[in-house]
Amino acid sequence: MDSSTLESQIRSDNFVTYESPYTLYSMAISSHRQIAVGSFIEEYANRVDILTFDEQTLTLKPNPNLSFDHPYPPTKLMFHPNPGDILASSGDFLRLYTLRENSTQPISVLNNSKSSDFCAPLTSFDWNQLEPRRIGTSSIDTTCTIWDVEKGVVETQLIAHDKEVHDIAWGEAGVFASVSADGSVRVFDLRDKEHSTIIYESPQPDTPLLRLAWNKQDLRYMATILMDSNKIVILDIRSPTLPVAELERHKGSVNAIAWAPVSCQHICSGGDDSQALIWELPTVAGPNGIDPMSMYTAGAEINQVQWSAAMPDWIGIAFANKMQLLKV
Amino acid sequence: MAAMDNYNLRRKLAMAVKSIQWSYAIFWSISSTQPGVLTWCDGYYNGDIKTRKTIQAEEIDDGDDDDDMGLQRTEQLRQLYETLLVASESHHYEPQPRRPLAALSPEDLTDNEWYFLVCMTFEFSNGQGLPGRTLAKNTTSWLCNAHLADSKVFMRSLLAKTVVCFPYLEGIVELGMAEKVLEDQNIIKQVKALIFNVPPQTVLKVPLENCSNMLDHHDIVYNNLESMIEYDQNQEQSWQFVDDDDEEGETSFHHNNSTGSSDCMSQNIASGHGDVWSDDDDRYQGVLLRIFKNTQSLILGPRFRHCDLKGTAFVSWKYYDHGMVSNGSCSQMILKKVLYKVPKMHENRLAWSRVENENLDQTSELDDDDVKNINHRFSVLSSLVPSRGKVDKVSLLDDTIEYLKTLERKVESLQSNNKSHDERESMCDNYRKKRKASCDPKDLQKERISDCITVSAIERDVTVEIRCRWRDNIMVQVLDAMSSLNMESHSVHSSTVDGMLTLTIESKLKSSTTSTAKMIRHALQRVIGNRY
Repeated sequence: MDSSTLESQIRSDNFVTYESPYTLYSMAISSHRQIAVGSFIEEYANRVDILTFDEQTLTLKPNPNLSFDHPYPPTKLMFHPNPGDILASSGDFLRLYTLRENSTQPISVLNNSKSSDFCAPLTSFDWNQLEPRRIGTSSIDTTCTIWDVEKGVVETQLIAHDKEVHDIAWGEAGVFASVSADGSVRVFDLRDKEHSTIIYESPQPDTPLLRLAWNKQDLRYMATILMDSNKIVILDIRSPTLPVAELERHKGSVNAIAWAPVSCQHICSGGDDSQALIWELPTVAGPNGIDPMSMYTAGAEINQVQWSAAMPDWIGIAFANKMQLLKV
Repeated sequence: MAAMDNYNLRRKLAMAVKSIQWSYAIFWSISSTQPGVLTWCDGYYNGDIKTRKTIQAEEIDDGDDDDDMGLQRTEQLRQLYETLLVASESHHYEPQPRRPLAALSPEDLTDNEWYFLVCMTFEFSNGQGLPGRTLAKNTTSWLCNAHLADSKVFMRSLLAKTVVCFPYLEGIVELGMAEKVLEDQNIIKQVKALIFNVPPQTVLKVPLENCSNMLDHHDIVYNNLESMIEYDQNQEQSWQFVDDDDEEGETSFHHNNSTGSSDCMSQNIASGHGDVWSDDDDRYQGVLLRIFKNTQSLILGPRFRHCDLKGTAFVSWKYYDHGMVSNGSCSQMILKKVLYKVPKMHENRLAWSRVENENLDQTSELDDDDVKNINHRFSVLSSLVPSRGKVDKVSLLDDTIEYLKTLERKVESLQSNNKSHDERESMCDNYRKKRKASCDPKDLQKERISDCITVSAIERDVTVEIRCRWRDNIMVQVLDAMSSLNMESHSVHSSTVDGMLTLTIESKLKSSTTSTAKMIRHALQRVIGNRY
């Protein structure tokens, strides 16, 4: 075993583990120290479990009363930016749940298709922090849909890409970006829905971009990851097409990225090499590329990374059937 | 200074600073564009160098190798400064990989190197700061405890504890050291000898013999700098200043400071004095902010410092060469499944429910073959069951049910009183044919012996077996009936036992006919039953 793994596992006062009966993928952290984890089971019956994190005792306590069944694995989970007791999930539909004292109640199932009972499957969504009534969803039908979740109506639906849209992220109240299997990152402004700006295209044409993270502390920067690539591409929206940095110290493909919630210069990534790396974007890149600042070695491929403003001192990762909170 | 051979200058500085084992030497030259202003011209860094893994004290060695290394490091630091400057001018502090890169990045620097780097940002007008005052007085200045000095005396109170300045050519040479060194005329002599060993073209006469006059005057409070310098009264400072002559003097600023300043950087930044000062302070502040902006120590707290990862689950990143974890097709397995397979699962469910819906409609229209088979079975069934005339399937099934019930009753009654019966009679009830129409099975009621007719048809070959009470002409009538149904009989076996006729006729249907087994049977029943 790697010495760093040993070291971090011995020092158990700086991380806490939750072990689930299922493989875990999606995950969300609320401002009430609640953590939602979504199972990844390749069949209809899936589960979302709600845990409560106690920083004093370093425990993750499951709340079986709040856990609920979910049709198919959720592709993403996210809590309402404020107050945080509403949970959204994406999958066959965009679903909203409210977490009560002793139960979780479904609020709504949002379907953007007027013509049928079925909505094109959703790959991801993002809750607008500045305008919490807005949720943007990305779909395999090449569209992004902007919802007014308070009214439960579609605000607008845009054909965003040439192929499946894989992820969406808000920048401002009316500006969002999306990544797609067509290999592009596009930025949309709801004030001008006719146009979008391509700010990056993957170097090999048609290399799909899988996930996108917009730096909420410094909106000039966003990060994306490519299919079968160990790179994290850092983009500056002011210099389209050329990435400002490419972080390539992972030993396997990257699965997840999350910007630090309170610093504009730090980003955490998790990959197939079982490592979570924290990067500090330097003032000046050295000739040999950028080295990460610190690392954590998990027991398996890391599939999820969450770094929430609700708990900036903790990074959540998911690997195999485990979810861990790591002290930063 | 443009005409000056910078390389030679740097060599001289190197020799001088290394001979006394101090940290750095800087030559401030009078700016060609701003007369009277001292700006960075060249320097030599002789301090600690940090590599990625270790901090090693540079060996003090006059050898050429070491010399080259120091010169190279100095050059790298200069490049880094210039890179930072470019970055700041374009208001970028993010990496700019498209630009030629400095060999060093900020995190590679030791504190001393930082200091050296920060010095590059300074400029001094005449009388300002230690170099400026040295120029103004044209004297040698020795400053101890420079890190504690008031910012007006020595603005860069970050690291260097001992700083010496003296005029040289059209500028000022500054030597610095991170440790406190008490004033020593021998050091000054040694340095000046090395730097002046080649007689300069423009000579500012500095009589070295006067150096012996330099003393450490801690107790003398004499400060003619007060006229131009106001210093912070909060700090107990005493200035010793011996001024023999403006032209030929040695100046010693001695600084004793009993109250340490805990935050040199902020002190520097905060202490503005007049326009000139604040300009420099702003500049200094700008550089520092540029360099330190958003570093983890300021933003995320001290635990984010590279070497201070206590209390975190993360450890310092280190390179290890295990090669790529190549899991080929398994790369990003779950992520790809989430993006590509899970949506398919939804779609499959949609498709599946559609099929389910369609199935409901489809139940009546089965596969063509199935329909044929079923219809065929129905026709066979109808040939066996006495019909009440209706031809639809439901009626046929009703007839069949009724008929089976009748038969069951007959079987029961027969079983109860069949002892007197001939074996052969029951034998005739067997279904003898393989797949086709078996016959009316149990006929025989004692009182009213019903007839037994079996018609089996295979393709166009029809076998008819009749068992009935014998009477005259019955065979002729049967054969007539069959020929009227377009059947060509080619083999007839008959026998009569106890007045019962057993008749087996094999025949072939003529091609034009559409007679079914049922029609044949009905026709024969009529023939046989005429008598009754």
